[in-house]
Amino acid sequence: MKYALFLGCKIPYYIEQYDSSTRALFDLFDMDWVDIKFNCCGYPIRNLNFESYILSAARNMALAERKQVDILTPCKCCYGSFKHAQFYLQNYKELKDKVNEILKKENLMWNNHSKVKHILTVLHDEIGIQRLRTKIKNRLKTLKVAVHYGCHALRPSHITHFDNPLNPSIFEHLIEITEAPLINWSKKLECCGHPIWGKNDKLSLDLMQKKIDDAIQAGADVLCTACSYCQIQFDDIQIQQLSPAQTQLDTVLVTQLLGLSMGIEEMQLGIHKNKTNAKKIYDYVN
Amino acid sequence: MIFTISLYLSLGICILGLLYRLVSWFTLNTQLRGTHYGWVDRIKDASKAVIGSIFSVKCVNIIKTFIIEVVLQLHIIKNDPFRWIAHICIFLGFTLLLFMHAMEDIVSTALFSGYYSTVNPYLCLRNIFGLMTIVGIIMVVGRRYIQKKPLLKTNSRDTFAIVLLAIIFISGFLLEAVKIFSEPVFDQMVNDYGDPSATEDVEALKAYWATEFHVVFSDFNTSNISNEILETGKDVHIGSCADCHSKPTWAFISFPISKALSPAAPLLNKIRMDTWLWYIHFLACFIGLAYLPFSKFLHIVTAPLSLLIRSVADPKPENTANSETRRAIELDACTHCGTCSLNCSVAPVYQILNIPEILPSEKLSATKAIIKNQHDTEIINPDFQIASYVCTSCYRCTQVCSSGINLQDMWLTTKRSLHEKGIKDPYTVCRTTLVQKPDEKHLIPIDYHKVYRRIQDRFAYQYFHLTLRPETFTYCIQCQTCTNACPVMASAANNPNELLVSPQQIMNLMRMRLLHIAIRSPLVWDCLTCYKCQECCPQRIPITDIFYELKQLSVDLTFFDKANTNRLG
Ligand code: SF4
Ligand code: SF4
Ligand code: SF4
Ligand code: SF4
Repeated sequence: MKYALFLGCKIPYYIEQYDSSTRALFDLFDMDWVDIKFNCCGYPIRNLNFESYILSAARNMALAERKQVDILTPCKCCYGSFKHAQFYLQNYKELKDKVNEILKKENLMWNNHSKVKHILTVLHDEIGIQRLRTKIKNRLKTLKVAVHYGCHALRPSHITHFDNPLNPSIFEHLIEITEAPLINWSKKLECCGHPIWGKNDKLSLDLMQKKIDDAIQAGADVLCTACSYCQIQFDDIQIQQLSPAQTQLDTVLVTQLLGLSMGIEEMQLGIHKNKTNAKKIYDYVN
Repeated sequence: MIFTISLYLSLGICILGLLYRLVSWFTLNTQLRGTHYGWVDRIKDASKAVIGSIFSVKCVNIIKTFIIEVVLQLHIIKNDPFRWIAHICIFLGFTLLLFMHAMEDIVSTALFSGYYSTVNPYLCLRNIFGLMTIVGIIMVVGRRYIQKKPLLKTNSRDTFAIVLLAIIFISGFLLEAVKIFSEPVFDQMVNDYGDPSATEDVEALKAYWATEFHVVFSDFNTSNISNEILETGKDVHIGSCADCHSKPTWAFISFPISKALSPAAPLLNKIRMDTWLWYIHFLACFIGLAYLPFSKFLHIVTAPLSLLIRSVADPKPENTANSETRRAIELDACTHCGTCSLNCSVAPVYQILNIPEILPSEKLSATKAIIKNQHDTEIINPDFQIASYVCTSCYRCTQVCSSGINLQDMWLTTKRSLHEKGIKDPYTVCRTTLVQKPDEKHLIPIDYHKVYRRIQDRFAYQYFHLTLRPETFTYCIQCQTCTNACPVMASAANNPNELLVSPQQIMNLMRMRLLHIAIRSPLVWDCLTCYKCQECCPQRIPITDIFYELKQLSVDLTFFDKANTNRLG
């Protein structure tokens, strides 16, 4: 298995534990990481300028193409951003030509030869549940987990091709191998609210609070994310913005949860680096 | 005389300049937001930190950083091996020449008993060090002016520094070359160290030096020198000169130059070219010395300082007196090497929008200008505003900065301070100007001609046809599925003063060609881009993508249209 890891702009500074835990997890399955100096996926600039967005996304894919490797990203917004860019570049030849004209200055070219995959897809489809199961050391039989799908991988499904947009299941399948019980909650597929953070904070917090309330009501002990922005929203921003009196939901990354059940060291999982009290999941190991 | 005066003058300016810098590190208000600390607090805290670091385990970091990053500069290799070679050549060549040659009276003579600049190994070493520096300079010129990477900006300060360095080194080699064949210098040496009245000896020495040391004498024919005379010359040479002179061939750079110039030697000797070159050489050096505190050469002091500070400082600092001081030093530590810009995550955005301040190296210069101007908001232009918010705070530039500057801290604080000063991000600016206020009776119509023209100018115009192509939204059957799916519509956090127009209604506005009203709906600007509406729409209307387009269009019309129409496309 060979991939270029696309971390995006948030992980290196805000959630470095996502980087280290991802690497540690895949190391168990003989991942061969190809190092590429990527740029921003284009998602943040998409609100302001379309061409900048397309060029950003295309350049990353072209860099991967040059090394003949596919991209794996742990962030759903990066994933969605790439998938949309592929869609536009494939469907609008003139756009593709213009982008390639700019990329040519760096001897780069976008020809759609590199695939882009989200971490959940690679874990689920490529490594496979069977193989993942063989590495399980710790079981989390009593930890009630609410999985958080995130919008940009799921929808629009005809562009992202991630999972069934109305009833997705790959995240659950992955968590099931830790034997942690999954909770059913009605707002599972809703937005975390982060895209509007910094633009309309009140709205952003309201949407987050609704999800937190819903998950807690459904009995969740912990929320599990697989996206940088969802993680920042439920981890950093939850702690910063909601007073301790308000209900709090501890947040853990999918790589941390799986990594813990596979016996990876805390050094690499970095669960204590999460701002919410995620380290309590250690109490559930048995 | 001129030498001494200019030396002390430039040294004086240099010292005063350095003092000025030192004072500014403790007084400059670099607190982009929050309390500004006075110099007493800053000096106190800085001394505490310095002492605390030296007398603790942190001193290991300091020593490690000094060896690895300051001397060997290994942190540069990772990002740019070419630049490392260039810089290490200049750094080593320059430093060694500075101590061995420029400060020979203080350093070399004291350390090495047999030191003479014209005797080996010093003669040969000087050429080696000089060659290293010249190679480095050529590599730098190649990188900056020939290769011309689009993301690497070169300004007049860079050019001036390179030119000055080149003048110093080229004049140095030329001076050495011209001195090799210089008759006047020979005569002077005979006067100083020999007995000019012993004409026979002098003639013999001339013969010996003309053949063996390649001096060109105006009244001397080298073709018919007898072996006898040469032997006598050699004896005189061994007696008076050999201790201080190795063969000029050892000056393996200057010697070939000297040979190449030798046809012109009589003329050059006559006009005392060596003196002229000597003036050029030392004056260029002294200009460099005087200019040091005000130029990018200052990085000789500030870059190591900044790297050492980084090795002990908190990577995510609070706004303290020390972080204010650190920022002041860092603003002086940038060498404008461009590594940050070459690695910047949003460089493709720069390639499209053509705003130089998007590149961190340029943004830092702009930030410095703002800080030096006492944070005058007047000089913050829309370009800086856009650039600051386009930055994703990805930390990349901080990781690669060759001077160890905490750029991340700089960007995060600038962004927050701009926000506090009311200089908001482009998105918010557009939202505030566009979304209809409750007391607003008349809508300012959008100039459709302009919109069409802008769209057709853009290279992505096919895409922009989404909002202009009727088939994208004509098939909306107004079923409200989108509205029911939208989490923003369901939120209680909506501003009661704003008219809540639903996605379905916006699609209807689009159908009625009322784009200028659609663009003013709060929902367009509060849209989470969650794509729930689009996923559910039975007619496959790309609702979210239409919203994206409306936003991009507004930013375009608000920010780029006025500034520079050629900016996009
Ligand atoms: S932090 Fe900003 S300026 Fe620095 S590399 Fe990232 S996007 Fe560029
Ligand atoms: S900020 Fe650092 S990397 Fe960027 S130009 Fe200055 S010294 Fe070089
Ligand atoms: S769901 Fe589609 S068809 Fe129905 S109102 Fe919304 S945009 Fe129109
Ligand atoms: S994409 Fe925007 S408009 Fe559509 S449902 Fe989500 S928030 Fe509402």
